[in-house]
Amino acid sequence: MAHAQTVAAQKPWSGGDAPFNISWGKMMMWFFLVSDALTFSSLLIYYGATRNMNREFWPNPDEVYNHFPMVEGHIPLAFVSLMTFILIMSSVTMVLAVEAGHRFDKKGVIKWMIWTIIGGFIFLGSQAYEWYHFIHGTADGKVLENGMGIIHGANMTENQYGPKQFANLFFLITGFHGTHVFSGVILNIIVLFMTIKGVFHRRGHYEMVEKVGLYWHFVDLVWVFVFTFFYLI
Amino acid sequence: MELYDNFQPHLHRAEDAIPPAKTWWIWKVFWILLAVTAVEVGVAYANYELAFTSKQVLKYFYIGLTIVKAYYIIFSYMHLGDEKKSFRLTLGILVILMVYFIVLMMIEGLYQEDVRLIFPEYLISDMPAAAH
Repeated sequence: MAHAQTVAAQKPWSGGDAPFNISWGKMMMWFFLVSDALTFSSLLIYYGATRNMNREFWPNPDEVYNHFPMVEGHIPLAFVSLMTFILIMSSVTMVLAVEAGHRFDKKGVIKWMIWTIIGGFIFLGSQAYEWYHFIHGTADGKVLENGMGIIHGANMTENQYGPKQFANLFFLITGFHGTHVFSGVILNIIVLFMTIKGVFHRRGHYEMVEKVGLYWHFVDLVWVFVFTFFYLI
Repeated sequence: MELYDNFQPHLHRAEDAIPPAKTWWIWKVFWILLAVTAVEVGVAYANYELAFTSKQVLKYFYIGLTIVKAYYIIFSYMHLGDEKKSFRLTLGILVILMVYFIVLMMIEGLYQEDVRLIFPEYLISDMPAAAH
């Protein structure tokens, strides 16, 4: 084994050794994240193009997402800012878990992974709240184009806010991001149980926490862009 | 198992003592991210009240701050800054595709709007017929 490593170190591209001085697992996680970033960017770019096509019909986001739990009245941006804060906070606890893994501190990893998972669940709950209000809409609603009734909120064919694509892209992009958050939480839970069982302790390194951490930070990164393009602009 | 274990970045043994935590840089980046988000929201609220600038200007301002946040998350929290330069380039080249696609689709979107305004018969039927 030691001999194989020295030979491979001389020829990093001849196989048997990871190029770029990164382990294979981390490198492939990066490549997956870049391809996923291309998927998300094409969704957001399509959102931008559709918005450019329908500039005069496009709703002002401040008039759509302006509710806050247990508060009467319209408060634009407050709830999504809170969601952003929660996701950034859970990203911080994830870095702290990775840092504890570097120091081989099993208790620290367990503690920070639990906080990360809690943050993920709070974020998912907030997104459910956001969807609930988007789907149910306001009491006024909007008279349908054919005059056959009033639409409250949104579904896949009609919505009270603006063009059909507005609601469909909201469901697609925030739903796709929510799916990523959900699978990230599942991965975090799996890694938490592996940590508790001492798998990484026996393996001699906590690199798996780092790989899951990369995915979790990516989810945070996508939310930063969704926040800007859906809620701020 | 040996296939995956030929590179072990932080190999420790169970009997090693746990070194103390060094977390100041994590919190520094956290405060930067929080401050940038607070500036974004603060500017948005200030603009509701005072209307000091157009939405078009604010758009570029927000996109700029978003890229700042993305930089800190990628290079600090995801440790890309610590990787080799050749690896950073490998990932960075793919970003060119994104920039190309953004320019392409923005031009296409504005052109489609022109087509719709000049030839109203191409108006998609499920769009609202008039501005409200």
